[in-house]
Amino acid sequence: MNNPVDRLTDGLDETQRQALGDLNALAHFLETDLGTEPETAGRDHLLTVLEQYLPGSPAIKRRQWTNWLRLAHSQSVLFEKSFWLAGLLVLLLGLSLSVIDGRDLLPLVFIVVAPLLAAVGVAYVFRPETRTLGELERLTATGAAELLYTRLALVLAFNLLISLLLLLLIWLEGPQVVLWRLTLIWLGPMLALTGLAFYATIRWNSLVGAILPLGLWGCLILLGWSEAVARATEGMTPAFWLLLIISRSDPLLIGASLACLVGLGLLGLAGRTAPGGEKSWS
Amino acid sequence: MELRIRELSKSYGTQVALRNVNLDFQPGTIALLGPNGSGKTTLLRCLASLTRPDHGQLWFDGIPYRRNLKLLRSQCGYLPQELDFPHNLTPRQLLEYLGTLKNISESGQVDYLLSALGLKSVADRPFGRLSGGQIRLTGIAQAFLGKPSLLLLDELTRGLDVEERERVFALARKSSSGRLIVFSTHDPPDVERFTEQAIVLQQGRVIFSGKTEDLHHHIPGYHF
Repeated sequence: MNNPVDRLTDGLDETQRQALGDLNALAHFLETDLGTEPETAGRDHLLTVLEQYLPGSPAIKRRQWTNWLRLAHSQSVLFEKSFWLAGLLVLLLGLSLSVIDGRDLLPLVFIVVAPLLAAVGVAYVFRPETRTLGELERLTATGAAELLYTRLALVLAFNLLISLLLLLLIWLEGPQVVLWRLTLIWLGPMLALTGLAFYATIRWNSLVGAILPLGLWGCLILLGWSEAVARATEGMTPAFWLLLIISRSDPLLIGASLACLVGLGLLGLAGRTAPGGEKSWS
Repeated sequence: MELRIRELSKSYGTQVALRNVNLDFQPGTIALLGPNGSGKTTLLRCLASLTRPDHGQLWFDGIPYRRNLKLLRSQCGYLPQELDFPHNLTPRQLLEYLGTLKNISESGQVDYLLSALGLKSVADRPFGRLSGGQIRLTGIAQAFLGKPSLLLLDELTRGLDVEERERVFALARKSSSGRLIVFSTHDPPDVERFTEQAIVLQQGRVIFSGKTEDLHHHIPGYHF
């Protein structure tokens, strides 16, 4: 037991020793650490300082939050100006419409455009020119899933902000729309399209990630439009018809709720499909 | 820091990239040589854990990759063969971003690397307005970020002029102590200047591993 490494690994079997790797440097460091034992007051102070690093300590939790924020902030450099401008443009469109004819048109634009903005935003932030960067990101201490979801959260947070501002405009225009119903009817397609864009981008590429949700949403809009045109013959404008079904249609609410669940499922599935996870070597 | 490879094989469809490769690496600098398509990039990517082999095992410090992936990746610096960074980013932003992901607290590292590789004057210019050599140098800078113990550099000096090569080798020499640096190149003078150890691959097989001075004896006609 004269070997310092043997003293460190005493009681461990061969597999456990191997798992610890080369301990020579650590053993050497411990051998040369000739510091004196601290006195009681010094020891108490050291324990107080170290306590915050114990698992479950509030300090650890705080640090985790700050790490997430730091990670999110660092990711913001990957977004080009055009990304932020696209969101602001939609907001500007909303503002213009609210000046022209906010009561009827604004909810229509909100429902049609806001989910698309989120889906296209997701495909954009995982565009091909981030692929080299993606590989380099994998070779860091930060996990692949952490990175994916932080980037996704940034896109969703920005779009959520734009959408909430649009909702505020709609609310200011008049109380004819039930806001919680409108929110759910917007949230369902937004999450479903975002989930689809995210999954398709991770699974295939950002082009598929943009085309799939655009195509799907385009088809749904066309179907809805043909229904609206049919109603228009009965003296109802498409925008008015939309407001009516937002306020009255329960199947639409159920559909939107289901779309929320599908979207969340796709977001989870995309995280598991993401390359570079440790499971990819198992 | 040790790497061990046993019976490593990798194919892309019908094309075999690596065939039963067995290698042991200790700290030091090793040149990876071979013609195009000989498997150099695939080997480096497998070592970096970016490409999963079809068969075989890799060990990092005596522990299989699959059980040690997080540690390996946190200690690995990698320069890809092809570099395509977002055009809106600048070298400084890229290094600071990757520095955050690598949990680097030492604030002067980015400035040191930019300065050592002569990138200070273009540090805040977007990649879309940089030359191929400047992009490559930024790629090299990010590989050295965080002082990794394992450096895997694919086509290290590709597209660099004489002066830029000198800077790269000066940085690598300064950082080589106690580390394993594996770099691929097509340029014999790079090898002569930088290392005495080489591995030669041909059609996915290791046909030589040893001192560069012995290369001629083992592979007659190999120009060096």
